Amino acid sequence: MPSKLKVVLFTIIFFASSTLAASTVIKLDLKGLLQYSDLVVVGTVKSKRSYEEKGRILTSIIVSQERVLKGIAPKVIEIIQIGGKTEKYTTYVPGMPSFTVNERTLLFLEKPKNAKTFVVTGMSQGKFKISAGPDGKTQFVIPSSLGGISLVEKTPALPTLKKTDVRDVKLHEVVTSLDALSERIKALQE
Amino acid sequence: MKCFFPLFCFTLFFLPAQLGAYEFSFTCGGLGEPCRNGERAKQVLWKKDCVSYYVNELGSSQFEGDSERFKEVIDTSFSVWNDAMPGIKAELAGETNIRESVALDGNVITWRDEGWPHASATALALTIIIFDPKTGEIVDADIEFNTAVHDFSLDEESMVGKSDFQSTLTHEIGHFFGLDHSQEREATMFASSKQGQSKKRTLHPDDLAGFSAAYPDTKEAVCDTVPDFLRGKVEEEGCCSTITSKSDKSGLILLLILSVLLLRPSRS
Repeated sequence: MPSKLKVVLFTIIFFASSTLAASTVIKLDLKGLLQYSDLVVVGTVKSKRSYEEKGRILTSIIVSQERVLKGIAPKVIEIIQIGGKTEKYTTYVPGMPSFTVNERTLLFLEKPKNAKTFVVTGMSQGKFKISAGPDGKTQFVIPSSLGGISLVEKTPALPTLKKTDVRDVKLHEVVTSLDALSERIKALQE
Repeated sequence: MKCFFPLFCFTLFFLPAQLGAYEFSFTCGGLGEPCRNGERAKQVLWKKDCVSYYVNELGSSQFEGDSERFKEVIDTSFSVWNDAMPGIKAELAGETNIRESVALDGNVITWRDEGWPHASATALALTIIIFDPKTGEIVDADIEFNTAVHDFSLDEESMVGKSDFQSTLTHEIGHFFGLDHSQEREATMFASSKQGQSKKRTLHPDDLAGFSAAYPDTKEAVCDTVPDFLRGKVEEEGCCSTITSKSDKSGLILLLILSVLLLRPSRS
């Protein structure tokens, strides 16, 4: 079979299909997220683009950061993750955080070995949406849905906080003000 | 009337478990991508009796010197599901040197010792399923283990600080078959577990109920479902029977014919 035809055959079936993934991930509280993250930033999603590379569907997300809570971050950050959406096909990856252009977000990011771009720490555990409260001023941090990921509690457990703080346990269940969470993040790094 | 309320609460508490807490994956809606206008969510599942899978022959350095036990664990993990339902079967097609899972290149069980580039290092394993968005039919599924970052154990005796390979694989195979996370805490398909636990090696009645509902056929699975139009490709490459769809193929065949005509070398 000619190699060109193989490519065409693959491309046709590939573009007519969708991708779904599920993953098993270490369960992370705030301390765990910080421990695994190289960067923690507040920023706005500027663009996203899906493409195919070596038979895999990947999405590049460009985030313009406005505030750094951990690490040294460039002004523009690129995240690349498995899955995505193009004009010809849809790719859905449960457990991978989804991004919307112009969305404000708090991100915990890790840099894979030998990579120039980032991935979100703990998959959707590391992405929070930021929205203004009823007064239009106070910024709130809204956790993402953790659907699609299977969480594994690491044993021995990650180093525990000196004082058990219910806010860290409920990180993915409750809405917190951005200022309060930022203070917690700073305090945990000291 | 006094005893009605406790009875009512008791019934409410236990009824969901009795009805089945299992979940299926859908093409849209639910926790995933929202359905577009007019789009109907379809259940994601295989629409054939037999699904072939390949195992990465390169293995992982974590299991060096234990390759026979390693293969046995993979076989056992699939057998747990295979033995549960006669309507569908996953069959080992052979070994492959494909390290990375690649879309529509056969269903591959693989491990990444040297890097885990496009997902968080905190991920232990990932199942990637490619499906037809119109029908929900799965056309390819791969399972990847993050052996670059995480330690796995084959045996219960050496599980300290490690994850049980067999439990993780058995859970991921559930996704491989199109099952989503169950609400039943004791189910293998429940979304949470503790590192080092091995209870997900076997299936809970809720997993069996979900699997049975997804693949209700009672006839014995037959492992030969390669469509004729792909048979040449399969024989040439010694590939498996994963690139298949039983419905709505007329457009695809027309595109293939057009492609052949367009790619044919000119006589000049």
